[in-house]
This record gives sequence, structure tokens and C-alpha cells, in this order.
Amino acid sequence: MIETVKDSKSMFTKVLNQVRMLLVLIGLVAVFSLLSPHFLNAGNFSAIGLTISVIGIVCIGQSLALLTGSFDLSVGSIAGFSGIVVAQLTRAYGMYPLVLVLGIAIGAFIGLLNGLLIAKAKVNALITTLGMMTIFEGGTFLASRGFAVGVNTPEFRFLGTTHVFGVPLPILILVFLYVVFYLILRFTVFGRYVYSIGGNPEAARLSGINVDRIRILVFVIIGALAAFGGCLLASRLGSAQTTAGNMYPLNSIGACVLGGIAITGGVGNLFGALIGVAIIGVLKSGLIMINMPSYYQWVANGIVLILAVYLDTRRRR
Amino acid sequence: MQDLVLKSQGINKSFGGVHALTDMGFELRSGEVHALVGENGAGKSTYIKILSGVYHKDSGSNAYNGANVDFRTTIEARKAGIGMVPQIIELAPMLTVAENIYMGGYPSAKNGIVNWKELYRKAEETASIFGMEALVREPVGKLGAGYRQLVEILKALTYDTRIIAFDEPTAALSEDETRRLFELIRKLKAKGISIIYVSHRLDELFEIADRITVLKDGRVMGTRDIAAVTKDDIVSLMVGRDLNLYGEDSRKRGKTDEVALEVRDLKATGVHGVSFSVHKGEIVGCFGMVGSGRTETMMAIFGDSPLHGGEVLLKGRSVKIKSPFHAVRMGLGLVPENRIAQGVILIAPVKNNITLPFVGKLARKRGGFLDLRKERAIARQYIKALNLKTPDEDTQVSDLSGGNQQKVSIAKWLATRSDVIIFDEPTHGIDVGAKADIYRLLRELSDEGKGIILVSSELPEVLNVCDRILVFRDGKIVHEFTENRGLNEAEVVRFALG
Repeated sequence: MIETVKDSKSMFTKVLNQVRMLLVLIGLVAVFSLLSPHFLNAGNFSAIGLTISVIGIVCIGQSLALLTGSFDLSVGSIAGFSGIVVAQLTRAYGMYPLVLVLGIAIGAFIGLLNGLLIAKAKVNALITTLGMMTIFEGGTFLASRGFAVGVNTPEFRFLGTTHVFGVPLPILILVFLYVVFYLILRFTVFGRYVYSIGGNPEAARLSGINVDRIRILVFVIIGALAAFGGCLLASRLGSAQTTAGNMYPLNSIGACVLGGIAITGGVGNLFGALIGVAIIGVLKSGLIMINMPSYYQWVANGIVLILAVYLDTRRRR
Repeated sequence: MQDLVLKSQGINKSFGGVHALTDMGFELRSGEVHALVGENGAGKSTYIKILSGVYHKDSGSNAYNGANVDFRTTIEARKAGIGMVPQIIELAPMLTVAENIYMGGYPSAKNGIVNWKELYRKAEETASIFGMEALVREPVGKLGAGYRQLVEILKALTYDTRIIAFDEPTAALSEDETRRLFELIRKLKAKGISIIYVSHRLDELFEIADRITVLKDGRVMGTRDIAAVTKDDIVSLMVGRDLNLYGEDSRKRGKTDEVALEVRDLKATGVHGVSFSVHKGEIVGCFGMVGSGRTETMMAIFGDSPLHGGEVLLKGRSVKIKSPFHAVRMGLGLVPENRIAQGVILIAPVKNNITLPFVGKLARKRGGFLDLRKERAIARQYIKALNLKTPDEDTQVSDLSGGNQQKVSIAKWLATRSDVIIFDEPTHGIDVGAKADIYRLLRELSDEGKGIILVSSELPEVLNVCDRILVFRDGKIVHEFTENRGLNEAEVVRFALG
């Protein structure tokens, strides 16, 4: 017989663990608000929201990868490559919405290649996605000859620059996608498979789950989301940059882990990932507001990441 | 009266709200073998891990040679003379025996530089106890399982050791190796070393132990001289009631004429032409030594390894099962041999594990969204049916004892309503209470008309539970006992050994 203490105290710690990073986020906002008079206002929050909207979308995909016990280093290259290709095609042919769909399809196809290599050919995920990252980094430069591709048509810039009741559309898209994927992960069969595979792939396979198929599907979704993110960024800036996604692979893994998604798979949720992304966004904006040179941001990101994981590990022990 | 080497009093330890030990008391005399028994999750391993510095007690005291001790690391404990031989042997296969023996505390290392000559000399001296001095320069990976355990024991003996705790030492050993281990324990005893011996195998305790302490749910149920008790006494102390392990066979229907599963001339890696059939309502036992091809046959049927030849028929129809994905959809279920690695998802809740094979059905006509209320109801139903001891259906499987984890691994196939369920060593390493529950369950399932295959290397369980026994050897079925009536163990074993 197992005796379990189920009193209010343990319920309290459970809830505390859920919102721990949310408290960190609120704490950061409070500190920066005290340090800078310009931090706490709607305009700044909107700016923070815009900066994290693209990496935030990439993080949804990365969360899926981590939850299945894998990861994807090629998200940045997929975002960059799709952005460049879509911008080039739009400049040449117009037909924007169709081209956007094509861009997302390209991302999904690269994801499919990742998935097939990892699930079927059993090539290690680190090697596969690292290779794919390098290939499409090169691809991005080849497609653009090394220059940013500017496009200024209203259609192309619609997604990135529209406001709805004063809120930038990218933020709304970000929130919408998080809600959708949060619900998918929590309440659908696909979501259950994702967590089960991350928890114990062998047990999942012997329980009759088609593990390979789910893994491939996960990488396809990652690719599509990263490509969409890349197109959204190009739309917001009015030009597709060759180096747009360079920092995405590690930043997205960092943000997810910060938000409590275990690197070993099967543990965590998208709410946490969103908090993780927000913390990085707030840190970046706050440090600028208090006039810290921008490179300190990287230092701060690194410290926060290691600290968060350290605290989490200590709690689990 | 011999002197006390160790006296533990009032030891408490809990893991996240689960009390693993409550007010534990234990005494160890010098030169005695003191067995610690109890069901899985009773707290035996927890106690010896506290003693040897792996875990830290919440409260209580351990008096060792009259002084209170509380080791922070296993090295500290070893240096003080308390060694442990863990259940799972963890050695570095590429390093030599000597290097493994001294791992974590090389002797005669000055400024980080190891004096190898001295190290090997000392290792030879230690290893001579077992006559292993010639092996100290061999990489551990080249040695067999029995020797590896000896290395683990040598590790425990490196310092001036007074106490060695063994955690299930015979679980992975052959009969021969077990006999050698016992000789060794007697040698250690003769040198005045005290032994704490944790085991599930009650029979061997009568051979090796002087005294026995029974734990149940983290509490001491009693300490007895081994000469003063019988096996039944121990079992009833362990479970807190008299227990008829195998129960009564009160099945009404038993075997029918309908064939649930038939296998014809099956060939796969390690399987060289196996044919048999399982009727509805029948429990077929597959007995054989480890490596005789039983598990390989089952995994091939289940689609986990490719067939090189032969045919599988379900309800008389020839089927191609290319993967477990197909097997499950055709009505097969498999409770795998290794519950932790293959059977359950430890970090997932009990309910997610139970519904895993058919979770897709819970979302039928709901656009992929799960009917969580129905899932909860199903989980509760099978928790109750299997007498699964868990606080609730949301508890993580890792928080359950081994026997209850195994019940989770079984529950999923009952909930899936598979027609044929293969149980591969379902009672391996679980306590007697859970064992009895599983035997009762096997009969209930067969009474419902399911075809049951029980793969086991425990002969008493095969003889007591199965309707028919297939004996495996070298990837083939070497004998079939069509009627399991009045067979004795020797008859069956003779075929298994050849």
C-alpha cells in the first residue's frame, strides 16, 4: 500500500511548480519597471510581443521535437530559406498568398526529409538536423546570392504589419497558434502519442503506436511552422534576411527548456514554452531600456538558462 | 551473545509523500547473515541504500560499532567498512578488474597520479579471497555475469569491511553461480564480516541466513531466527495474511475447440521452426532456459522481429503481422519481459499507460479529441479489477512499486480487450501478493475465452497455472505436455536441458 500525502501543501507546491517561471517573468517585468520609466507601457509590450512572435512560433515546433525526445537544429535554416524563396518568388511573380503556401510546403518538405532520415534511416537527430541546417544555410545564400531580398507590396507585408484593435497581427497569430497547439497536445490522440513516445519510445511501439509515423509527422509540423515563421519575419521587416534564423536553433531549445520542457522528452507543456520565450523577450527589451550594451543580452540569456535548469534539477532531486 | 555491529533505530524515510520506511529498527551481529525480506516496495532496498550512503534518512539513528553514523556518499561508507553489492551491476566494461575495484578511490594516488604497481598489488591481494588474482588485469567486459558480480563484491571488500549488504544477488545468477556465491558468503562470514542479504527467493534463505527480518509497507513485521520459522510463516508475515499463492482453479469452461492463435513452422532470428496453437480459454505455458528462443518466438509473432519463414494464423485466418502496430490491431497483446524498458512509461500517469494501445478509439468521431471522462472511467475500472495499488489514476507509474507497475503493463491489454495475450515473465521480480493476483487474473482471462500464453522460467508457476506446457530449447519446441496433470519438476526440466 502506498501512502500519499495529498494535503493542501503538496497541492500548493504542485501549482507553484506550474507557475514558477511565470513568477520569474512577472519578477523580471517588475524589476525592469522599477529601473526604467519607459518599460511598463503598452507600446513596449507590443514591441516585445513582436520580437518574440517569430521565435515563439519556431518554439512550438521545437517543443514538439523535445517532447518526443528529439530536437531540431535546422529550424533557423528552414525559416531563413523559406523567407528568401518566398520573397524572391513574390518579387518575380506576385501571387503572394499562393507563394506563401508554397513556402510553408517547402518547410514541411525539409521537415519530411528530417523525419524520414531520423525515423526510418535511423540517422541520429543531432547529425541529421545539423546537416540539414548547414545545407539550407548554404541554400539560403545560393538563392539570394548573399543579399537580403526586399519586397514592399501590401499583400506581402499584410501579415507582419497589420494591427487588429491596436494589436499587431503577428502577436495574435502567435497566441492563436499556441492555443491551438496547446489544445492539440493536451486533448488529442496525436498529443498523447507525442508525450508517450517521449516518455518511453519502446513501450509506445510495443503498445501498437506507429512511432516512426508520429516522429515524421512531428518533423513535418516543425518544418512548416519554422517556414511560416520565416515568412512572417520577412513580411514584418519588408525584406527576407539571409541570416534571419541563425540564432533560432539554440535559442528555441533554450526557451523551451527554460519553460520546463525536459530535454529528455515527455515532460512539459506549451504554456511553459511560451513563458520561456517571453522571459527571453523581456530580458532583451529590459536590458536595452536600462542602457546595457546589447551583447550583455546574450550573457544574460545564458545565465538565466543555466540557472533555470539548475533550479529545476535541484527541485527534482 | 555475539556483539552488535550495527543497531538502527527509528529510521524514517519518505519520497515525495510516499513513506518508504517508518520507524525502522534493525540489528546486525558480527559474523551473521541477516536476511531482509518483504514485498516489492516494502523498503528493503531503501534501508540498505541509507546505510551505504546512497540515500539520506529523514530521521532516526544508525549506530555502527557503537558510534552514530550518517554517510553522505558510498565512498564514505566504504571507507568506514560498509559496502553494498547493488541489484544492478554497474561496472566500466573497458577498464580492468583492478580499476573497477578501486573506482572512486584509487589507493596510493599522489597528486592525481596513480601508482599502478601498488594498485595492482593491492588488487591481487584483495582478489585472492576468491582466487581471482590472475584476473585483475583483465577488462571487466571480458568476464561473465558471475565474475562481474564477484568484482562488485571485491569492490565492497576493498577497505577494512565489516558489513556487506547484498541486494537481490542471485536474481541474475545461474544455479551454479548461486552455489558459488553462497560458498563465498560463508567465507566472508568466517572472517567475521556481517552480511545483510536482501532477496525475494525464500528457499535460499534457509540455506544461507542466520536470522530474518520481514518488512511490510516500510515497517518491521518481525525478526526471527531462521531455524525457528517455516516458509509459510515468512510469507504470512510478508503479506500479513495466509496466502495460497496459486489459488484454486475454479474455471468453468477451460479450453474450447476454437483456435485463437496458430503458428506453423515459424522461423526468425533465434527461432528455428516453431509450431503450436493456442485455443480460446486456454493457458499455454512456454518453459525453457534463458536463450531457448521463447521470447524470440513471441516477439516474432508480435511483429517485432521479421519472420524468415512460417505462418501465423489468427482464428484460422493466415495473417501478416509486420509490426506491433498490426499485432495490436489484430487482437494480440504482449506484456513484455522488461517492464521498465518495454512495458510502461514511467513518467506518464497510470491512466495514460492503461489506455495507450487503444487511445485512438477514445477519439473516434470526435475529430481526434480524446474522451477524457471515458478514459478516466476505464482506468478506474481496471485499477479496481487488478487490485492495483495506486493513490489514483493520475499518479505517475514511477511512484508505484514493481508489482503494481507490472499490473499497469498488464492492465492495458485487458482494457484493449485483446483476444490473445502473451505474458513474458510476468511475475519476474515482483512480490508474492502481486504474483497471486496475476495468477488469479490469468485464470479469469482464460475463463472469459481469451487465449493466454505464459512464458516463464519459473517452473512452479508453469506447473500450477498452465493447461498445457511447451518446452523450448535451442529455438525449437522439444516437447509438449498436452495434459498438465501430476507432472513433477524433474520431468519438465529434463527436456529443457536436453
